[in-house]
Amino acid sequence: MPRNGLRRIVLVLMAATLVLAACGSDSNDTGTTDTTAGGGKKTTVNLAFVGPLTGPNANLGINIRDGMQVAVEEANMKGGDITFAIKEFDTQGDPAQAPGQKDKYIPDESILAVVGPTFSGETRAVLPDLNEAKLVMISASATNVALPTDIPSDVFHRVIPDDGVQAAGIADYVTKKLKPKKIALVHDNTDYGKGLWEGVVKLLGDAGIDTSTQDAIDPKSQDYSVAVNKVKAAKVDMVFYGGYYNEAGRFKKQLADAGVKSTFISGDGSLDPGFVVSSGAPGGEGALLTCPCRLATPDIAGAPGDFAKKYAEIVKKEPGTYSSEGYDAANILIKGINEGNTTREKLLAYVEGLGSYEGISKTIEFEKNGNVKAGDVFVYEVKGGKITELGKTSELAAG
Amino acid sequence: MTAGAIYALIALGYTLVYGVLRLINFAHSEIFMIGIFASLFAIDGLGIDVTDSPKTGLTLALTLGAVMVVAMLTSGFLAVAIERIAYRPLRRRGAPRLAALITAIGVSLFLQELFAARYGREFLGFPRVLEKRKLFTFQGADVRSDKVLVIVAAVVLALALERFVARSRLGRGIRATAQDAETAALMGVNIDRVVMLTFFLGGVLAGAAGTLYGVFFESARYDIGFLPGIKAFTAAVLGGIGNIRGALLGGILLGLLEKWGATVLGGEWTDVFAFTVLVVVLMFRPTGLLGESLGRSRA
Amino acid sequence: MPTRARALDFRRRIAVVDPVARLWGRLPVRAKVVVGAAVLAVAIAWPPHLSRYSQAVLFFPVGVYILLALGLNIVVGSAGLLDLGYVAFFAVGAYTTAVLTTTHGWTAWEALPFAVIFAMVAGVVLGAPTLRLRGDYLAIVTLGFGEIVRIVAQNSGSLGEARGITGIAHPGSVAGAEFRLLPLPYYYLTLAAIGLAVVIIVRLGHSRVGRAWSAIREDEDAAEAMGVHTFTMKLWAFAMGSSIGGLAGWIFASKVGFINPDNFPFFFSVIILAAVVLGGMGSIPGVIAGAFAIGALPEYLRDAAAGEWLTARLNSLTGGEVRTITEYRVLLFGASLVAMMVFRPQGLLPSRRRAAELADAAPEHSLAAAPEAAVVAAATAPAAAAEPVVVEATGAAPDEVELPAAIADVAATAADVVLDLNDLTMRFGGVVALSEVSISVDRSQIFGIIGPNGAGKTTLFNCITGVFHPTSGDIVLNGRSIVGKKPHLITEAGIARTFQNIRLFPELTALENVLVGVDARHGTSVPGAVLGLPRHRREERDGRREAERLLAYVGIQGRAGDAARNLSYGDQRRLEIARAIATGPSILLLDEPAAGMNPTEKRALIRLIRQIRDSGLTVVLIEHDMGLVMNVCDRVAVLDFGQKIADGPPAEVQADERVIEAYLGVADAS
Repeated sequence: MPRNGLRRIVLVLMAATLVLAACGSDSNDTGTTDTTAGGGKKTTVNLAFVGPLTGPNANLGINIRDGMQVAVEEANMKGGDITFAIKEFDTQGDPAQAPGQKDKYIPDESILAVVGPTFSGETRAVLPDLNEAKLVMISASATNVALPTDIPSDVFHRVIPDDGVQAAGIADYVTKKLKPKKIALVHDNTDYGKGLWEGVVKLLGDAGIDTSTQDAIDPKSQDYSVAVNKVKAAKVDMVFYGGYYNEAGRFKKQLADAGVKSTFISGDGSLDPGFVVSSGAPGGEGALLTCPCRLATPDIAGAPGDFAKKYAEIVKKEPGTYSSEGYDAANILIKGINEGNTTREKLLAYVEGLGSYEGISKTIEFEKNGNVKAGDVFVYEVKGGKITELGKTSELAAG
Repeated sequence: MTAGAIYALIALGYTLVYGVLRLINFAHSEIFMIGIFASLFAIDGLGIDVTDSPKTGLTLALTLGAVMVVAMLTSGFLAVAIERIAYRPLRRRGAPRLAALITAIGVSLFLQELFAARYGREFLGFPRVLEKRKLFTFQGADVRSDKVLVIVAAVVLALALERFVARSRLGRGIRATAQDAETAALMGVNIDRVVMLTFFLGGVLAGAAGTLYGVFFESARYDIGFLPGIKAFTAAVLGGIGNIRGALLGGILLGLLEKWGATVLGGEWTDVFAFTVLVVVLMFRPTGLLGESLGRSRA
Repeated sequence: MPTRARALDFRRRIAVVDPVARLWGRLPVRAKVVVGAAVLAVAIAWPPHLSRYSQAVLFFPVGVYILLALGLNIVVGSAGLLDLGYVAFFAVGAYTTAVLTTTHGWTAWEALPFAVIFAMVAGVVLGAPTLRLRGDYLAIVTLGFGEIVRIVAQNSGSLGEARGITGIAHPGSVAGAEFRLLPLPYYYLTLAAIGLAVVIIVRLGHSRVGRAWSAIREDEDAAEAMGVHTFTMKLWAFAMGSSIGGLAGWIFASKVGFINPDNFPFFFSVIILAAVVLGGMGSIPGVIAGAFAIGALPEYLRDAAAGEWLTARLNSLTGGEVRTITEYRVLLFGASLVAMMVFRPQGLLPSRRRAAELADAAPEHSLAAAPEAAVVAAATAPAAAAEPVVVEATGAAPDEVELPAAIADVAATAADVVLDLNDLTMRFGGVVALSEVSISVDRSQIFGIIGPNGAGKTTLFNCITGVFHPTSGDIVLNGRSIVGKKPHLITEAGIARTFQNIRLFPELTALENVLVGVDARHGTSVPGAVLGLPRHRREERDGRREAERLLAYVGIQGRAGDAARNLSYGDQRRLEIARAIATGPSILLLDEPAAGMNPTEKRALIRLIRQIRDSGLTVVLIEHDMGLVMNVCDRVAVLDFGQKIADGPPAEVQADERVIEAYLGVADAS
């Protein structure tokens, strides 16, 4: 009977797949060597990208990966003995998936360094192993303050200032430029969102602003009406949100729908065109978004502008949040490798002893624990559905 | 309250299917999600985009009506399709209920990922069709036009469903099958057709819920159905699963409870509060607040 | 009826098409052990040759999934309790380990027993209020609990909130093996844990506890009536399942060194449940295979070259523009779940029982319809042939058969008036089902209860056995009041019953059915079974012998190994009686035992009832067959509309005018 036959086939297929699964995929890529027509030997060196390429908030990871890509293509175009390549490890930014991925890139000898991990949570998950393997990492975006202290290591580096610096920048700007009497502060209960929020609450409270209106929202839910009502009832001058762009935009929209007209300010997690989409363009108008990073646009003079043009050529998009930082991180590593540091230990030593490096996002100097010496915090505003730069918090606060 | 009304509509679908088949239809949350997408596409199809201003009066009614009908039909037929493809073979075989549950979960995941692949994993925004005007204030809370629409629509649809199930011939068939399928079959009730109808009705309501959701929250994404689905199922159990009025009551009650819990305990404890209430209710009334009663007629 | 014919059809088909289940079922135990040992040998010897990545995958997700699936299988597969929040116990184990080793500075090994114990406590705490709920209510509540645990972790400062807990200690080295960052030692640790879990589960399966779980799964009310402490047993199932979950949590936390609430989402519970169902509920090899498949396949799909081709195909199907197969992983997972369930709902390697269950299951899981059973009897000739033999055996010589202990022990304990009902009243809302019924049953009597349909006879039985709590009145058994007690306690006190529509445990064999009854008089629980204590072994031995004696006593010893649902109708009745007697009652309540029987069977039944009474038991029976009642009963009571209208020797009652009126109505005055 055909039914029996079909069932048998399905059973056999399933069994075969299982067997294949059990036997397969054990080969590891080691560095491939190929000869060029010119007779010289070229080696391929891999840089690992670790972070979200899919899933919610994937944009932040994609931006960094694309920044790396620009750096790698530029390096390859310059020629030389070494071909650079990126190996991607998609964690979806999830600390639960991060360990699974690390067991792939740590044993892979062709990978000399990691650009990433992207999010603080996943960094926390894999840092001990990275340290054990002496695999140097330069994160373009993991901003949690406690990372280097909770897990002391040699390999941890980041090219953006931590959330303590960002919180200070926000507090500076808010107290000196915007001067609200009362501010509502809401977070999304994530490692990053709540971390930034705690910093801001403390600093603004110390400065004498009324920070008593506080709430948390569930990022998985769509309905923030309780928080919205709380904010509305408190009649505040400003609203601060700690979290990522989707929820930030939605929250902003619901505030606007409820008739709350207070100024809205949020951190780097919200700095993404997704914020505008989520807030339903008119709803997001006037929102302020900060970042310890600088969005590269073609009209900026000098290196950032060139980068933006190059990026648009190669990636066919405008650079996003942390694209510049990803570019810088990759370039530090590329430079070190080109100078002969072609093993993990040597590359780690190079990065540790970096001194000063002129990146397009900032001048990079690492502190002993891997933090970058404090950089500027930038403020952006949503105007006409677009994110436009206002300037550095230090300059805006003073002016 | 508004969220509660939406939960209630979705809960009706769960409760109908459970009452007749004793199956927790996990895929129902995706039927809801597809209702939202269908609404978005319908709005798009009508030529409305983000730059258009909101509609009013007759245009508004017609637009919303058309969109809702499209969503309802899409979800309704999709639900029937799922039943034919995934659940009926199991029913034929007398498979254990757990197998049907796993199938439901598989369908749910499949549909989510299908939409994720096709439409991406970012949120899609709705154009504003209904202007969100504050109508008046009631005990400190704003009564807004969109909130009123959602609540009124939900109640009307729920009562219409109840009327249909209680009075019509097909409705009787549903109730008979819920009580005793074998006897109903002996009495000439076409069980397969009853099951299809049940799924269709549940899907229709989920589609309507989708339109209302889209109008209210103005966003869509592949996984947007998951959380409301769980909440709606909780609401159905709270009110008494298999009980139509119970689903309505459970939905509204759950919405209010969540609100209250979030206000008093803080937003992060909402779900804990809601589930704890559920456990406590079930401890004292094991079949939910209004009991299981799809089979019993209203006195 | 089309459904039945199709069901039989499927049974034949499944028997042919399910080679795996049949083959496995037919293998002698020794062969199974050899296969198991071979698999174990491969599991031990092969991993060191794999890449580090494969080893890591074997630890997590594969190994951990297998361990968790085994634990969940106890809850879902053995006891039949639908748990949608199993991840909670995994989380409790992991967080306990994390907190103890970080905040309190314990070593990982020191934290281990506490991780398991806390998880077990969590299981009991979750189970106690919720196990009274049936089926799908339990599902949603357990789902809620899973979420509650995760949210509490997310909101609690002491548990690290969203940040989680870092710096969890790795286990100290043991026997030269170091547990640091390499996955291989953890894999072996997990393998050991899996081995332990398997041993525990096998031992429990072959014990009073396992039988109780099977009974609860098949028919909870009947189990309760046979003296099974259903609530306690269900709680044990939860406790055993949750402690295995906690063990897995300990291993996981101590390897990864960092946990946060995102490690424990609802989806994780779904995956483990899918593994159990996909593999074959209740079957250990099945569950292991299912968990292995669910853990390994997605990881494999991440890398496989086949992925590219597949991605392209899927892209054209869905209209998407996905770059890697990884993004289609969950879609394929969902699709394969559906495909598996539609094509093979019994799972990959089902227990033979479940495959059979599926083959001839009608939508209602009961043995009810007598005609159906008769068809089964007709279709399977051997059963029919056995009938006359059975009748002979009963008629032969009770003295030749060794008397079951249940019977032998009775005579000493019964009082003169075994059962006394005083003014028993039962009201359901406005309906009065029983109105001040008073009946007295003496020792070694055969007492009949008759009356028109709806008179309240079965309600009376239900009141006596504790299914209903009487509105008022008293029930005294052997001088002690038992009114208001739980059914299993009443059974322990000495009342046993059979049911109007036969409620055997359909998939258990005849012997196992009776064993459930015998178990009521034993006391081994989980610790005894798991540790294989002498008392457990003794009780198993004695129990088996007693059950065989009971089967012989009612005359169906030849059917000991057959599933109850395959027995002929008459044999099923006998089996139900044997099971009831097994609980060691002083009084046996038979609810319409002769229903659906032909005259030959009825004669055999009469002989059996007399034999039972002669052995010292008291019998109360509800019957409609007047001939039988008059023939066998010493005394008869008549109920009509809930009231007793006559009470006396059969001849007297037969002539009573009120009784005639109740049955036949008043004669026309003409």
